[in-house]
Amino acid sequence: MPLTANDIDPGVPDLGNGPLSTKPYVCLDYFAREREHIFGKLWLNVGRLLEIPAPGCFIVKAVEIRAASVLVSHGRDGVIRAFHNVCSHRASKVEWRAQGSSAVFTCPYHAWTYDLEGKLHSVPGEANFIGLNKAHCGLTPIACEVWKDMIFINLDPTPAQSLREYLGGLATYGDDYPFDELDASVSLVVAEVRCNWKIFMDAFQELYHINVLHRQTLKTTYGGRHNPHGDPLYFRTFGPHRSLSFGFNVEHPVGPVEQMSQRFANDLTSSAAADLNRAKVTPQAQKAGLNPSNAPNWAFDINTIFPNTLWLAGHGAFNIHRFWPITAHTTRYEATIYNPRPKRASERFARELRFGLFRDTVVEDVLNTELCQQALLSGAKQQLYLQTGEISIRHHLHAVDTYVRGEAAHV
Amino acid sequence: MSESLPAPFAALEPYVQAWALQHADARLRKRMQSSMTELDAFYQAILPHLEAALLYLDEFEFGKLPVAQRRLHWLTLAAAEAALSVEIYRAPSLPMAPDISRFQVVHTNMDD
Repeated sequence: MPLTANDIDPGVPDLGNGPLSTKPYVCLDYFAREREHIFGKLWLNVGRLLEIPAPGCFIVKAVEIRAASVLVSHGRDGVIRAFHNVCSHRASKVEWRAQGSSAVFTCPYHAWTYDLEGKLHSVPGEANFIGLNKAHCGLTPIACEVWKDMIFINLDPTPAQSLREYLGGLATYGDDYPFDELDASVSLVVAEVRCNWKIFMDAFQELYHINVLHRQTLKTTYGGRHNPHGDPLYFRTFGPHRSLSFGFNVEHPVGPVEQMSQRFANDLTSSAAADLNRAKVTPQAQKAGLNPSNAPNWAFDINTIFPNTLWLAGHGAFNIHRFWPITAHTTRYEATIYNPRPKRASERFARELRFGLFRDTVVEDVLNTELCQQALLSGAKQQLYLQTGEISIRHHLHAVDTYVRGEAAHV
Repeated sequence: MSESLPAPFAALEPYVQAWALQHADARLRKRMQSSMTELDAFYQAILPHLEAALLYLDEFEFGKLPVAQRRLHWLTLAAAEAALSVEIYRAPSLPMAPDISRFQVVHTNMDD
């Protein structure tokens, strides 16, 4: 069942069928333009509100491609603010912890302190600073807005669009998704994947490779004889953002312990077709923000929040993947599975098996994409050939290229 | 250590030392360092008790399991890890797996 015209939303622009250039994956000049036009101008998802649930809570996030350390603070007034994590005195890094709770931020160099709202609070030996105006020496603010409980920052001092405008139809589509109910997580962090950020994202934009690269892990979970090439169910775009739906293989066999994990999971997400036998699947799967084509064997949607975040929405659980470019040829990767907090030991057991399978599958992609990057750097190939089921990759490269050329209005 | 597990699960005692591991990374390492023979043996030993063990543990307040019950809980988590190798991969580790030191796993609100 290859992706047909009926499976592609009529609103998707014509993306062509021809081969694609390898240049965006290897060219240093291209990477410099991504730094300026994409990571320097667009809204970037850096975390969830549940990471900073109360006033005083903070997180520190790196945006390596911009050499930025971003301090996100939950203020005493309840407002979420972001700042450059840089002291106004002599530019030291103010907050060294990745997350925590604090009444003030104190620079470890000379103990200048800032309040949770970013104002300079105190300067040791202040009388020795002739003419210092503390009101002008707060932390440098970064645009910060929240959609649902997702925190976004924008490194453009004057963003061209609000977050809501930028997310556009994707936000409308996802507005009813129950992020709040899914507050327990397991994260997988790979500090350095030795490939371009886009080529690693590409591995999560199609299931054509599932039956092949993941033949020992996912096996026939999404493929099998009825869908041997992992064709998607549905594809739609929202400006630079997109949503791609995939289905389960109802015939995928599951062993006794995995079956047990599905029975005890107390949610509707698992890797297996056994889900389809559950009475509650259909109404859940047709909830707003999920399964746009109402497919009966629907498994999950891969929603791309352009440029570098994937939101894999399932019923009862979701994943967030973020791909942070470090250099043109290295990427930091963080992936988190969110699910309801386990209330029983049996639920915890179920999560363990599912996360283990996720972890082992994802790390197969790490090694493979590193080999792809190496091959591209050799210059052996100048073009890549994509099939229809890989339309999401085509759309991503199209959107990146449109921004890089400074033609964002045409995405 | 003869009373290290709750009495109904005394049959699993021989596996406690090797498999009742508190941390997820230790359980993964144990899986990867075991032979298929060892993995199959642990899996076959725990499989007949697994459902009963999970139902038994569910009677306790999760996050506040007493010592013996915690050990049994860790054993069920190790069974989940081992089942990946036994039921799915048919290998202790995967040919495409990068070195385990390259990635980090972080649990939040998972109450273990």
